Amino acid sequence: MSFLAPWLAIGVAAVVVPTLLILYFLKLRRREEPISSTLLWKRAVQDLQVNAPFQRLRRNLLLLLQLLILGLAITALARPIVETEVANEDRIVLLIDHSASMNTVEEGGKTRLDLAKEQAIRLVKTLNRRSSSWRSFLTFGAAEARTQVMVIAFAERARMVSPFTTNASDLAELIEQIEPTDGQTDMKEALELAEAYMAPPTLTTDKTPISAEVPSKLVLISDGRVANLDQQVLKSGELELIRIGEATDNVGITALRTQRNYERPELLSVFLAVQNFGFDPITTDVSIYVDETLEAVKSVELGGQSADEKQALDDEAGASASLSFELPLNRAAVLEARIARRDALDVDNRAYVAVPPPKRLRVLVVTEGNTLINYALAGQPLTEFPFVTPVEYEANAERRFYADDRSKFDVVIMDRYSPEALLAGNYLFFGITPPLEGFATGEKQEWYNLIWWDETHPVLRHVQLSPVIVSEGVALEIPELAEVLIEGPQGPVLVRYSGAGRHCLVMSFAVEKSPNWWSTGFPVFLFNAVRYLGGATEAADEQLRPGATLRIPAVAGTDSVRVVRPDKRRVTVSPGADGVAYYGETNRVGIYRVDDGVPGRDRFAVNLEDPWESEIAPPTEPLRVGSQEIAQMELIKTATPEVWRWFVGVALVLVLLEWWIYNRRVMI
Amino acid sequence: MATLPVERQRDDDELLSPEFMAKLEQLEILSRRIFIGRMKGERRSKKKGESVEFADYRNYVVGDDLRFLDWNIYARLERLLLKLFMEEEDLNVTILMDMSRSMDWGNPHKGLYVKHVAAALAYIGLVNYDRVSLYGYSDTLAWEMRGVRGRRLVAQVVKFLEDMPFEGTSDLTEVARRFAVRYRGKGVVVLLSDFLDKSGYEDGIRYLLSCDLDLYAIQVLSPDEIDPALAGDLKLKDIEDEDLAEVTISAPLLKKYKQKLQAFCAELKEHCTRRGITYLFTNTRVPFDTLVMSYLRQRGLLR
Repeated sequence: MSFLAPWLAIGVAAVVVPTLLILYFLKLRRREEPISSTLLWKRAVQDLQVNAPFQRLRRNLLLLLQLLILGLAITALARPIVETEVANEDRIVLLIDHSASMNTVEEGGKTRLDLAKEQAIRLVKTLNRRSSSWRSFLTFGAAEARTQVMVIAFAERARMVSPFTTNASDLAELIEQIEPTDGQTDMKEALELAEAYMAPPTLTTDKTPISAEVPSKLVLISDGRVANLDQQVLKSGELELIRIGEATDNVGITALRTQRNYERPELLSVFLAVQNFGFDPITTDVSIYVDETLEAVKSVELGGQSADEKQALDDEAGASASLSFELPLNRAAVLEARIARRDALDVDNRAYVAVPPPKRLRVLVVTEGNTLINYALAGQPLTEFPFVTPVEYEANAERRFYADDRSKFDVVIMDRYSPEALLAGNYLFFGITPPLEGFATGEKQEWYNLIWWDETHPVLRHVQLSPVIVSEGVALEIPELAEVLIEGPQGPVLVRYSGAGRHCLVMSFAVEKSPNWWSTGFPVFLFNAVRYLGGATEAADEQLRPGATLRIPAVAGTDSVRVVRPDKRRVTVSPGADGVAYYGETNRVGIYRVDDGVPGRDRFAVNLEDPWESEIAPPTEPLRVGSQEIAQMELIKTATPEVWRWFVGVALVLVLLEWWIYNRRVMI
Repeated sequence: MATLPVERQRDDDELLSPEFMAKLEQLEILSRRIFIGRMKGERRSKKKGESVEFADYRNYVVGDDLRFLDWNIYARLERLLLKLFMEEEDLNVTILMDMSRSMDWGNPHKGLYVKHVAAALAYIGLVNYDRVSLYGYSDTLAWEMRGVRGRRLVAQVVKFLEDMPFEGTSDLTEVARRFAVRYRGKGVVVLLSDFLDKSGYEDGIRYLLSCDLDLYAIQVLSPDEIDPALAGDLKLKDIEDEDLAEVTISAPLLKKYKQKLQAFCAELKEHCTRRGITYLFTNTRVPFDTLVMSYLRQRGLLR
């Protein structure tokens, strides 16, 4: 036997017991009154005790109260149950959505997640009422089949909160500990996790029949904003939904981008998209803060979404707006955009960008002479880009170009030349492999096209590669950890590799070997590559969503990186062999700061920027998983086992009232 | 409460005031039966005797006192007739007073009231040359003054009454048993008590009846007992035996108490009436002279 709410009982006892004791002591302090004889008094009292209840049934308020108390106590003992339509499946999986939209504050000040947890706890207690009922108590719980409940919390990832268990109090405690996240809603992982556990136990002995095939039930507790739910497939069991939340009022930032002016890097352009997801037109101020200081404010007017167009998330006229700001900012800073208006969902009212400092890079080119690179670099805002021949480089490389075993230049371009040894630094190799373990130059290749390239990678952004024909190149043998950015018919063409403080981009052919490329895409590629390697890449270009993994470059020689989360918690992560630490617990929106990190790459902004999560209004159409419509369950008003507490509570109040009346003789 | 009777006694220390005594002179104690007295008194006796009052004649038989022959008759009729005169005898008046602690209570004070009544009755008895005996009892016959006769002893009787303390618990049964054993005469017995005796009054009355007495029972209760002015949560303490009763005074309880009291008195009255005992209930608020001058006369104890 377990107690579902021991603290409540202790609390009530702490109030009631002293009260009763005080009343008891009051009773003891009766006034003493001398009297000639107690003979008649005793007879009268006796008589009253024996006969009065029947004669004064109607007039005796005290008796009435006592009867009422007794009635309540008996009712409580009978364990009253509010009938709910929860079928008693043997195995139930609770899927609790704790994505960003579940942070919406509903009427009464509770968030949707709070309400969802409440529902889950009630459901758990309802399911397990049988296990604590008198019947099972009398049969020592052996005769009753119990409902096993598993709890999974999911946002963009799924986490098992509790495996299958029947212990309602443990479950309630674990459910209570589910924390909000700012992640997206993705049920795929949750469903996979659930299905992995839902398979009935296959471990069988002679006594347990194999045919214990019971259909499990999945109960989804969510606000219904589940992305791509109709693309999921439910393999077994059935899915039911308990839908939480009614609030619709929300304005959110759906995008925030910054870019430094190409000519004047100290000027920062900020682009911002805001959208009204509510039905009423609103006006609000959007302010830009730089390192917590207000820099700019703009007012924006947004129309409401019309109800029938709500499902379409594309920008309706007036419901969304784009804003742009231009700020002078010649240092690294954290830029924050804020919507002044208070609404139901707070997460999307703020967006952050970690702005890197304006940087003019220093580039060293080691080549026998290459006018193409010269021209391409000349057009870039660089401090200097000296050209040296391999002979000059080798002559006094360590003194001229290196300090503290690290390159003095932000980027070193190696054109068809590879030194004997490579010190720490950022390198771009053309037509040759670096002298690093795992790299090797293969046989020559002639006249080929590029087959695949990662156009989302910052290096290849806006770079035209489709018409490129390479007249001559080499095949690359690359280490396992290298990242292939361009692939040709015979293997990788462009790879990115970092390890032991060396960050390399390796191109398998020299620039001049592809005439139609150097005239079109090459300047852009070189610009991207130099900025990427030199660390001048806009951090904001990496769109970090909640749940994304942070790649944190560690300062050479350190074996731990300290990450300060937006909620001020500090986490220590260890960098891997490639000098990069990974941190994946980015479930809250905000700035993740790295203590003593590589300057310029030590702040990471995680933003919601998700219209799907910002759209908090409940869906009008029933949800579907695959082609199957999800049945919606009624909200559970109260968990059934607790009903008796109300009766006992009222009885306790009545006992006190009765005692008071008895002492005061109000009515009789 | 406890100090009140003492004050009252001081204020009202005269058990008998001269005016009241003058009124009492007129009265005498009657008995519904005529008893044989031990000494000559002022009371007509059943016996023919030696008083001046002529009663009858009868024939002389040998041995009669020659002094009572009516010589005038003999002279006229030559027959010896003996003159018979009314015999006047005294009466035994016994007053039994409950002097237990329960009497030391009430406003007006019960015990004092009883003493007043006793003094009045004793005075009447003394004035009429009756043999007056006074007993104060609680669980035994602790105080007694027996066979007092004559007006000159009034002061002594008053002193005796005044000095009697209230102590002990009342036990009428035991007291009546002892009294019946000791009491040899016949006469009037007046029992003054509140009859709130936990061991019951029935046995006591039976013992008293066994003596062939003319019994008067006067129940004295104070207004505080008849209509108690109590309220609240009380621990009622019996002043007689320290018994405690925890009560919460409520309207039904008070009503019940009054019912019980009424039933108790009615039962006592019934008990007495059936056995030829004259029962009189009195509230100490009734002035004791009214009781003596009016009520007792109505009941036939006094004339």
